[in-house]
Amino acid sequence: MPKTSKPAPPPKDETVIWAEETIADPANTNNPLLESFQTLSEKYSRLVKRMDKITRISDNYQMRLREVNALLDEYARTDSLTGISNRRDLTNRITQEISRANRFKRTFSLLMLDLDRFKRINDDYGHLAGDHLLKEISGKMKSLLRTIDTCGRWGGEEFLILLPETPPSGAFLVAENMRSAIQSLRVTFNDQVLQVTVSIGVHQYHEGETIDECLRLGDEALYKAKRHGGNRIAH
Amino acid sequence: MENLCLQPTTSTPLINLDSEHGILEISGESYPENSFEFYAPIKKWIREYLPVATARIHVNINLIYLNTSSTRCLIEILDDLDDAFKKGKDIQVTWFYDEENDRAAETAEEFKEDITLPFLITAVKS
Repeated sequence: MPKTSKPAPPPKDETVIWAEETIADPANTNNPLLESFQTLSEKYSRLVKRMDKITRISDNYQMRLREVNALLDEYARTDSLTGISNRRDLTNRITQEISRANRFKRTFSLLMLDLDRFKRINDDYGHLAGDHLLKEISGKMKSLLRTIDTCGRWGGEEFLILLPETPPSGAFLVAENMRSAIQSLRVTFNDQVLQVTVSIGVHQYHEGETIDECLRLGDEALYKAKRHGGNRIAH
Repeated sequence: MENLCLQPTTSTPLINLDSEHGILEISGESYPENSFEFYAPIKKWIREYLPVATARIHVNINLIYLNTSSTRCLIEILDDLDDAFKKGKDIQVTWFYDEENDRAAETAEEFKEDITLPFLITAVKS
């Protein structure tokens, strides 16, 4: 987060200006109250200075709180292993996309992706290898998407991609890009070359669907792809 | 003089005022419901201790967060310490802050401003 330079001091206090002018006025030179007035004026100036100082310190602490809040907000939306959206963020975004699609009579598509026989990677090479592969695949998927798309980790080796403003034709194109990119991805971990394929379910949103229906239909498409042997796309 | 020790809570810092060793320590977070009530006995203890202190006084402050009223109380305590320093007491303030928090260093500088006693600002690993 950008660190700002020290803020400009507040404008000089009007009462301080008035007191200084009163003290400097030759008409008051012999006033018997002048000395007491001067003392009072100095004390008042110190108080104003003190208030400004407390305000600046307090602002600093508040800014820090805001920064930490922003960081926590990001953590709450991110999958800690892969750095892409987590399930909570995906759910929120799909909900928003449904409202937007209904409001503007638009559509969107979602892709449900599941890595084929991923358990084997964990069993054969260990969980660290599996985790490494998940990170690499997440990065790859994200690099193939537009900035308006969201790619997130739905669960263990399951991912979800939300494609706003995308009809099925476009969604299939993205799905095929993902499938072939993952198939040809070779990830090296501890001198072992890891490779995996992915099954993808494509679902286009239709007006009136709830988020649960939307996700269920995406899931059904995904399992169709799985049933037909994996490394393929279904809808 | 009896020491004053307060264990930290979620909203109040650890207070360890040790007259025997001349160590005044405040560390943790400070946002009590009533800061003036919380700091009143601390201020009182320090005001009573300063005139009778004979050796060097080490003031160690490690505060992560202060609400506005706690900030005011702490500034008042620093004022008392500064007055005692001006009267010849040997006082060293060390302000610790988390090295990863840029703003904390700035905040420490704000506390130090207008104070004449030795005020060391030290970064620590959190």
